[in-house]
Amino acid sequence: MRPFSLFAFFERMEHGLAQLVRGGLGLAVRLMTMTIILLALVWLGYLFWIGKARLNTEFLFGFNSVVADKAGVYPALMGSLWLLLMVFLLSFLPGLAIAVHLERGHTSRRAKHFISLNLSNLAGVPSVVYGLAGLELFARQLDLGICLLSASLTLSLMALPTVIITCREAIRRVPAELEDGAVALGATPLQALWFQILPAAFPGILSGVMLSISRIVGEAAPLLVLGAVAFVPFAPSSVWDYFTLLPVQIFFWSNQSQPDFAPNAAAAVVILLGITLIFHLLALWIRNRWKKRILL
Amino acid sequence: MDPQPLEKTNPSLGDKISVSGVNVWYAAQQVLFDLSIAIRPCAVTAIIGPSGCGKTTLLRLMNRMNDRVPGARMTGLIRMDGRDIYGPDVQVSELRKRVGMVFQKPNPFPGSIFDNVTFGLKIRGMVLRSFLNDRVERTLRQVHLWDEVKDKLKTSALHLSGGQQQRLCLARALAVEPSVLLMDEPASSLDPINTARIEELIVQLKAQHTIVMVTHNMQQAGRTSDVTAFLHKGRLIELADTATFFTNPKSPSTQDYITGRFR
Ligand SMILES: Nc1ncnc2c1ncn2[C@@H]1O[C@H](COP(=O)(O)OP(=O)(O)OP(=O)(O)O)[C@@H](O)[C@H]1O
Ligand SMILES: [Mg+2]
Repeated sequence: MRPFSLFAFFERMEHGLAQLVRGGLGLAVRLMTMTIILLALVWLGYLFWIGKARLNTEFLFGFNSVVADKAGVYPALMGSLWLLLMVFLLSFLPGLAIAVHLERGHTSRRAKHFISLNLSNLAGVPSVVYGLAGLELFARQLDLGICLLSASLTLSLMALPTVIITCREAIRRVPAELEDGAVALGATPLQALWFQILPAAFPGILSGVMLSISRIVGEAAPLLVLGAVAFVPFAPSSVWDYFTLLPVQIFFWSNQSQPDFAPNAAAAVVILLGITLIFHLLALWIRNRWKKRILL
Repeated sequence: MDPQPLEKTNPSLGDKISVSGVNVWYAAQQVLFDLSIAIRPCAVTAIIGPSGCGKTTLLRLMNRMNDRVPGARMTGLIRMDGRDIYGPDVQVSELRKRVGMVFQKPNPFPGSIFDNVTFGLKIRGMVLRSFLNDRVERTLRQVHLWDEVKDKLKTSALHLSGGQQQRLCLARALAVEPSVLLMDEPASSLDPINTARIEELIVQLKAQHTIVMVTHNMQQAGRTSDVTAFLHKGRLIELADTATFFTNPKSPSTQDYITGRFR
């Protein structure tokens, strides 16, 4: 008997796997994928169908009302857009700066390890807990009250760990030879960072940041804790304003006892998904333009 | 077997760079041992030796690239134009602006061929378009890459072949006209014709530049260099005028190495 060899084992296994794939496993996997996509599409179509009566400009630019088919989503829509912008501004630059510092700054190995561990823990903390922390810290201690600013700060805090982690990954993937080449020509570390490392890491940074932020903007739980309600008769015009948001609006409408509000909830979901989709397409577009520009 | 002092190799000029009593460690492993070598100005110094003997390490000490290796440690003194380059008043980026380097493995920037050549100029504040255009053409001609890329200066440098990338990296270093040029196997991925051209260029360049070149090719060292140094296991075994070095080596291990009888 021949001695057991991992190499031979893998070879046989791959051979077998290839045969399986040819003999139907591949088809099964493809079918499964198709089913999942189909289910998502069916669900989306169902939402469309339920909400179709409300997917009009009146709904888009109207204010909330106790009468279901008079109610509009405008304050919530504007609140969500404001929040998107604010969270982007508040978490992107600080997150990137911290990531750069952790990857390229003079942090000791132990400190880095300690911080990484805490970051991944923080990224896993339930969103309700962030809501509570935000309520106490921003709304009460810093006395900002219940306003768009405290909501943005809370959600930025929540986005920060993921933003830092994804930015770090993107920066780490830039080969060290690139920085060597730049500093060997006399670039200072900051010049090398700005002109070579960050441009090369930018596509990765962008998708990471977009992903975590669009995820955050779909959150309702921390904002409910923070005191957002569905009835706000105006769209926010500054960060000090009271606010409502699409997920919160959806939550309240879908909790109503009258069934008349179901189309409203469905239509609001479609709008929220639309925003996320536009956001992602925008990111994709910027990313591709950038790749073309710096010719990766 | 002591390395010869500079006066013996060239009595008329002072050293451009003098390395004296240098030891280098990576973590606990010592890779250079009490190494001293003088680099003559406006001449080509070739460093030869078996793989892993510390050639790249020695080269990287001269523009302080080894500062960037975590765990690397150095003792000893390195002077350029009489000044301690590891001194507290030295600004590393300024030093590297005067000491250019071509790496063993080509490392073009992601970006266009044009941007690669002009990066060093731009960080020196030279941004005038016509000047950059001229300089790009001149340096790409110098490294004999111009004819191959003149119609695609705006395309990605990463799409060039290995040999083209190597010449591009040389052009990038030449564009800023450093007074010292450190080259780590500058012809390693070039075909014979381009190798001959680059060797010719190196000989021309020494009129204005001091060149230190690592090579595995004995003929190349013989053809291009004025002084040759032989490193073995982190020690300088022999340093002599190239003609003497190859015709009349003093150390038996140098003899073995250059005749290919090395254990
Ligand atoms: N960053 C590093 N960390 C740890 N050890 C290193 C590092 N760089 C080089 N070494 C070690 O130092 C020794 C000298 O390496 P160096 O790269 O200077 O050799 P070399 O003469 O340039 O070899 P080659 O001809 O193969 O390029 C080798 O034993 C190598 O393993
Ligand atoms: Mg080497």
